[in-house]
Amino acid sequence: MNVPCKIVDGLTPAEKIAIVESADGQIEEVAVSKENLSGESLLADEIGRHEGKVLVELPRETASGRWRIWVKDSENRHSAAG
Amino acid sequence: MVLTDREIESAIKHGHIRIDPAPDVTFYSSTSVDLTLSRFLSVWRTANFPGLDTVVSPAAAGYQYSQLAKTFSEPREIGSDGYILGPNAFVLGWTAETIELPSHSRLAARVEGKSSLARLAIGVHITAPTIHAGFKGQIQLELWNHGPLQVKLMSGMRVCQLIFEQTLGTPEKGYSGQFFAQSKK
Repeated sequence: MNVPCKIVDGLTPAEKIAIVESADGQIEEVAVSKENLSGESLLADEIGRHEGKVLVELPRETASGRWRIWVKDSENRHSAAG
Repeated sequence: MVLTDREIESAIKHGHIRIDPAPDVTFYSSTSVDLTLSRFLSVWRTANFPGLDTVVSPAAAGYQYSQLAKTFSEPREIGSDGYILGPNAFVLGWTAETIELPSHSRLAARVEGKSSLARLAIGVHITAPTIHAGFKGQIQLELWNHGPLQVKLMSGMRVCQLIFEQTLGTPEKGYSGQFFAQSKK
């Protein structure tokens, strides 16, 4: 699943920081490798859905210590590979 | 259950573990595979004059790691002369190899130090050794010199080892969430 995010440079050329907004408006930052990104999206795994929200597991732990966050369903789109 | 060298090689052959560039046969031990240090390091610096303290509060509302990194970290590259890690010094480093553990592989790993460096008091992680199922990328290392000697880090040196473990079952994300909350009903 592609989660829209803002991407800024990380600590090395291979590292990026993806900034994601959760369904409740919380900003989450996660330091990832380039391989975890697709364009302006963070590649995450869908865990479940509930009332218009999607629970995703991020590729790394966020700066706040979370692996799984709820994001708005409308903000996600499936990758071409499904 | 920890994978042996034969099982690691088999898992690589079948795409259940991906290591790029692939490790040479000499990088294996009976139950691990060595990884090497990339040339990129990052050093945390703090405000260093009287009257100004640097306090980081990761639990604070609005905490932004990206701002912290931008303000207080400095990139370093290991040159041909190496990088001297002095006593009590701490740097972030990364493996030269990119690792991938597909979620469906039923494998996770732990990154651990090497005894050759441990005896010099060099640690490679600070309580965060787990490489979770589904991981993809270079592994970040928290390099810390606990000892009294200055130790030279070189790009390409064997810096850590990966120990692979079989998971009991496939994690939820390996199923794209199709069994989400079923056990909670």
